[in-house]
Amino acid sequence: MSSRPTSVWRQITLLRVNDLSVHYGRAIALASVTLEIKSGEFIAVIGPNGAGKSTLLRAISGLVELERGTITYNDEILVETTNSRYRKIRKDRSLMPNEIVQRGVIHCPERRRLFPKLTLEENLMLGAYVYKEETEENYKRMEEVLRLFPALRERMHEEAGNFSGGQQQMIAIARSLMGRPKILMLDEPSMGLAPTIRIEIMEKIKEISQQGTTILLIEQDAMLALKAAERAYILEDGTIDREGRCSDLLNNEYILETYIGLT
Amino acid sequence: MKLDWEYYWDEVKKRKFFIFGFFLVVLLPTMDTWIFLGPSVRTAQSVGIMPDSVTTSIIIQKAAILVIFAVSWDLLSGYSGQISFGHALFLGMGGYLAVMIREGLMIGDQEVFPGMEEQLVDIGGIYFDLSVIEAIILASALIAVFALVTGTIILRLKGPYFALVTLVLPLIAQILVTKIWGDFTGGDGGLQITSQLIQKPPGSTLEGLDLFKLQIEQMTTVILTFAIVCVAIMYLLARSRYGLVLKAIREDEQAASSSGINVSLYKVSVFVISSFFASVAGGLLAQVFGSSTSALFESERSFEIIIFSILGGIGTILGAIIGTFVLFFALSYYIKDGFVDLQTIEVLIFGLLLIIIIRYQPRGLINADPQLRNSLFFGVIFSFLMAFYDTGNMIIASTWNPAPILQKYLGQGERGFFGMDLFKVQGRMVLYFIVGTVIGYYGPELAQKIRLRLWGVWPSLGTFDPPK
Ligand SMILES: Nc1ncnc2c1ncn2[C@@H]1O[C@H](COP(=O)(O)OP(=O)(O)OP(=O)(O)O)[C@@H](O)[C@H]1O
Ligand SMILES: [Mg+2]
Repeated sequence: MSSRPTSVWRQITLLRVNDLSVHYGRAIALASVTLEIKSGEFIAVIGPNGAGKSTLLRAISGLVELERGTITYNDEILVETTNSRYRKIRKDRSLMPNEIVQRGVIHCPERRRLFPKLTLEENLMLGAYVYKEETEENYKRMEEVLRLFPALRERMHEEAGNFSGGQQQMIAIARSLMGRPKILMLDEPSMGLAPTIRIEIMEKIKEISQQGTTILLIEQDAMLALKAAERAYILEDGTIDREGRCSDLLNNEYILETYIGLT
Repeated sequence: MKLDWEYYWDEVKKRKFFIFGFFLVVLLPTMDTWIFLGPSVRTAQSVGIMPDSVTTSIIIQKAAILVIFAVSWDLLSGYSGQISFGHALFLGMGGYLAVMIREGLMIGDQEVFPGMEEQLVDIGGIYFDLSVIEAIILASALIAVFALVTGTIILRLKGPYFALVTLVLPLIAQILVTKIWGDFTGGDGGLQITSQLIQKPPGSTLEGLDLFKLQIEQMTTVILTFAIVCVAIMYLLARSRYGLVLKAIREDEQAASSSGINVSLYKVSVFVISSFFASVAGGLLAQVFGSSTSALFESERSFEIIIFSILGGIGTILGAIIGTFVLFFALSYYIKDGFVDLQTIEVLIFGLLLIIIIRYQPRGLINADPQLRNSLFFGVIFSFLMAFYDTGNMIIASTWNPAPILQKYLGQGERGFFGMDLFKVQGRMVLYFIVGTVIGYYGPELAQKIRLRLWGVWPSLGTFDPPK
């Protein structure tokens, strides 16, 4: 993990989501969402339940079929669907989920989703699945990741399911880091955790961001997310309601009222 | 205060000498070739208080084949979590196809496929027809291709839906081979094998029963070799990265694909590998039975190995091996070849065992607490051990295994005392002790109580200090 990169590098658009729509059967989860993430940025996406936040991440990871839209990463198309009503061309230029992970677009899913019966070490190693050949490298990487979560080091051979919720979230993040993310997408890492643990986890995420990883964070806890991130998108009913710098959004009355509960 | 033998026994337990006991079980059938034990074991066999070597060899053959089959199921269902209730589909297909490829295929008078040439080879004194083995492997490879096609389709189904489809497929196959394709599958009678795997060595003077015994023994060797090779391959696969990825898929498919695992590729590949080895088991089983019949497709075949694997511990390979070998061996001794009348309660015993295990040791014996596990293994192993002493006009026999003596009585429609008995067979007296029962596992308290009454019942768990 390198130190914080220069500002020139930060002008490069890393991930671009263009006109993205996702339908689940008849339900419309996302309708024409467009967003852009620059290299090294820390972006938050906040919104009420069912707004389509998780769907956005799943679409970027190639885990759901798009109705329409393009997702590009470093000017390479990750997922694209050009769709007319009568002629559906699906997955024509899209990558497979494993290929997307290989590019360094890593998704830390909602509800942690560890492999509960496997040991902590096995969980971490599976995070580095796409780097199959270099096991040496993987162990080195594990050392680096564990430096961030020293508490885990002693319990490497315990089943992941035995850890507490907060620890499991740490493991989930550690597992994602094993995939050497260029861009790390976290889906509600604070879900179901006590306030102090939430803050601890957010500190870790900030640390990861400072080491140069681009972060796309999804959060229910708007206050927490807006304080940590640089820029944020507000997602409501499957569309981007507004976007802006976090400092501005934290002064916005509408945001304070609906998401933070202050008037 | 402990008795001397109790220290010795603790030592044995600590050092896991039960492996030694396990070998005794395997060596039992060859015992009558031992110089010293030979005569008395043969006597015991002739008066029917011990299964003869042919019976035991056939049990071992079937057990070894079922081990291949069970492990292939465990790789698919235990590791990748795609629970199949109809693995017998591949067992049956393997059986039929191997025979067809070897013997050729005729529909009416029309020859569709001529069959393979005999290829006699001699490896280590075993004189066998290599083409039979080639046919089995070729058949399994073809079935693996079939599995690739079906797997791609049915593995899209999740959980119970996949299980349901696998449950139905062998039933369809059974109808196909008995009713619809009867012309070339031999209908209800099945396909008979005419070319034997094990051949008579050239220049051998053995005849009749002796030749038969030799062939049975050689068959056992061939099948055990097959079992060891197949199981070793699957074991190595399961222990490798491949196995780890399969487990990840079992635990959480979505998380697995988030980690960049191509879930469907792995699922299909394990389905193909598993079907290959299940078909090998089917081909071998047909050789043991002497024919391929639709019985190979029966759901009993599928459920049997599921129960064995669950008892041994699912998703561990080792559990499937031990569960199958020990249980099939024990059950065959006690039920199938012990008392024919009791065959029907086999399912009952399976069911009870399954309920007990799922209630108390849901992760199987292999993951049970070590004391319980070892004592169960010991119990089963000791149940096979017997001692014989031939005094000339009387045979003194003692065993932990009550099956032979029960068999004697049930066979003759008499009732008897099951602890010690004296009976007459072929004009000779047999004095028979049962020095213990095959419980194999006693809690410390129960062990104390039993030990006070019966001589020689070793507590498998805990120690007992006699009152001073
Ligand atoms: N697999 C699915 N099948 C059908 N509808 C779905 C599916 N997954 C999500 N949806 C619907 O899509 C919409 C967006 O879901 P999504 O999970 O993206 O919301 P979210 O913003 O992550 O909500 P939360 O904050 O509760 O996690 C919801 O209305 C939901 O009901
Ligand atoms: Mg969500």
